[in-house]
Amino acid sequence: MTAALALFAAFATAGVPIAFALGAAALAGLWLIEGAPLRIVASRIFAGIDNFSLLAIPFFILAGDLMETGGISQRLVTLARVLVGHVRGGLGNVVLIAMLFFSGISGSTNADAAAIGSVMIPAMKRHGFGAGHAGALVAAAAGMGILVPPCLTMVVYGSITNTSIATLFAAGFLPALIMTAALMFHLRIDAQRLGLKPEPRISWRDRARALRQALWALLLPVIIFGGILGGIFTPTEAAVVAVIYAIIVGMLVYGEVTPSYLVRSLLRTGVTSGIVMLLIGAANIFAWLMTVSGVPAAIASGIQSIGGGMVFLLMSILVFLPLFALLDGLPGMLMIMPVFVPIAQHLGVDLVHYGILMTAVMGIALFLPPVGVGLYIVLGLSGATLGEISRHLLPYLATMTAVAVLIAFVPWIVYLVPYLFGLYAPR
Amino acid sequence: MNELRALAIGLDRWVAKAETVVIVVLVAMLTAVTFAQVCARYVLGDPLIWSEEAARYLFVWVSMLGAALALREGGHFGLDLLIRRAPALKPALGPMVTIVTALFLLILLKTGIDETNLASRQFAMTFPMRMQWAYLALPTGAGLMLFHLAIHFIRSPSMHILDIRREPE
Repeated sequence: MTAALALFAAFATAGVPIAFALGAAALAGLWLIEGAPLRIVASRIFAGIDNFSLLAIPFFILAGDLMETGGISQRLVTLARVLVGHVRGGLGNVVLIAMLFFSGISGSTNADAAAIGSVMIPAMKRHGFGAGHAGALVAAAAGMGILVPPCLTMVVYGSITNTSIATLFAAGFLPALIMTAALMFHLRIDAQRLGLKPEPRISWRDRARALRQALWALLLPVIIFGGILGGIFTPTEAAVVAVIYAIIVGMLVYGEVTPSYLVRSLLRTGVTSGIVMLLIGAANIFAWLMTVSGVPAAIASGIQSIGGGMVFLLMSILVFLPLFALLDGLPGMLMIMPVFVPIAQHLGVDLVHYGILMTAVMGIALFLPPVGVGLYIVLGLSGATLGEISRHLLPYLATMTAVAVLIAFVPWIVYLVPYLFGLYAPR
Repeated sequence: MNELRALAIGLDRWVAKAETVVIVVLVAMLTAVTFAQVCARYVLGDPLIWSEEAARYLFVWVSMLGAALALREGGHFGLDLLIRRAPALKPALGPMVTIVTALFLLILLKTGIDETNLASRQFAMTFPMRMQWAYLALPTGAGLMLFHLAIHFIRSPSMHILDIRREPE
């Protein structure tokens, strides 16, 4: 088993795409197990993809793609601006609140960073923010936004571990709000130090107008979460309703979705799904190997002897941060889940708690200098160097990591909202 | 030789176009079937029994074809840290990476064909279709990925798979 993991590391370092590296390493592992049937390869990939919960992935990608037109991000930014622009920290707060709204529509962190960043970074630069600071704020906000459902990471995690995706979605809200509050507080201190001026206060009439213009876009998360949390739709069904809603609003109300845009969106959805699903399939072969080998159980008993669950959660954060930064988030998660999730189960860690912690860490890792993929999006948009962004971003990421540790130690942050909606019963 | 090369590249473009059309149609069908399920259950009050299973098999096809087109366009995630830091290694690593990828795809093709043959004796649970039509997505996807990989190799034997970056046509 160690051989398969070492081989994976070697393949991945050489640059074999993660899905194929996982598959090829698993092949070697199968070879080493006496009498393991090769047909596992095809059957585990098929079984890995053939899962109704995972159908939420293409639908959330498609709905997000249709809602990510320029007009909608502009409207959500305007709404955030009239709401919090006057708070000390000014446009920095606007970035955070706009990201809360926008992440509730889109399931993709990189798309969030690009959409909000392209509107807000130029605006922040005009209002006295340095390019590095502006880029760092967008990166931190997008990293927080991964916790706001709908979230593809949660769909994948929930489908693979058989954890309720509705519960995971509900569980993400409070951690997202706490992380936003922590970042706003951090920004407030920065604002004093850097002498950033807040925007003028906006009249209630203008606020009402901004709300009216953003209403169609904001109704989408209301439909999704109303449906899921109210127990009306499964997440997959809510996602397809979101697609139909996005097509109607995009075509008829905002007029930004044309038939050719729709066809391109369908194609992008198919290709992105293919990339994600091949990874899930290959990771499923790996998971089979891990179960057969009994390695996770052995590691679990080792951790048990040095302190159990809490030690494991902190260890997970330390392993996930560099791993997810290097392996672009989701591929890293799929690679490590077959090892770490069984350990969590052996140690009696709640899988909803573990999933939210993993998601929070992924948000930080995606923007972790110098390798996080999301970082390169804000680099391009802000025109700052990696060094300038890192100098501003690392303190924010430290604040976010502190929140992640808080989530690890105080599980009720995760359970509270699902409990209120009857999706979680305390043990 | 050059003509053969041009022919192969032309074929690659044609295959990619066919994949594009099929993916767009399948994703549209996937959306329609699942939305029909929601409408039937909540609007008509008469749930469809076949929609969920049909959507799952459609998605297996979408996934395998999407993965194939992604391979052509260089969309699969990989760790490019080493080849960015040490570009001198690239000509040596490129063919190795291609071989490892091809090896996995060959095994997927072979086992996919076996599973498809086995599945010809089973039927889908909720509608009359032989399961081979669902499993066929695996060898088809693996075959197409091998094809695109071979064309990349013909274009430039020393290319590294992570260097491929192209827009869908």
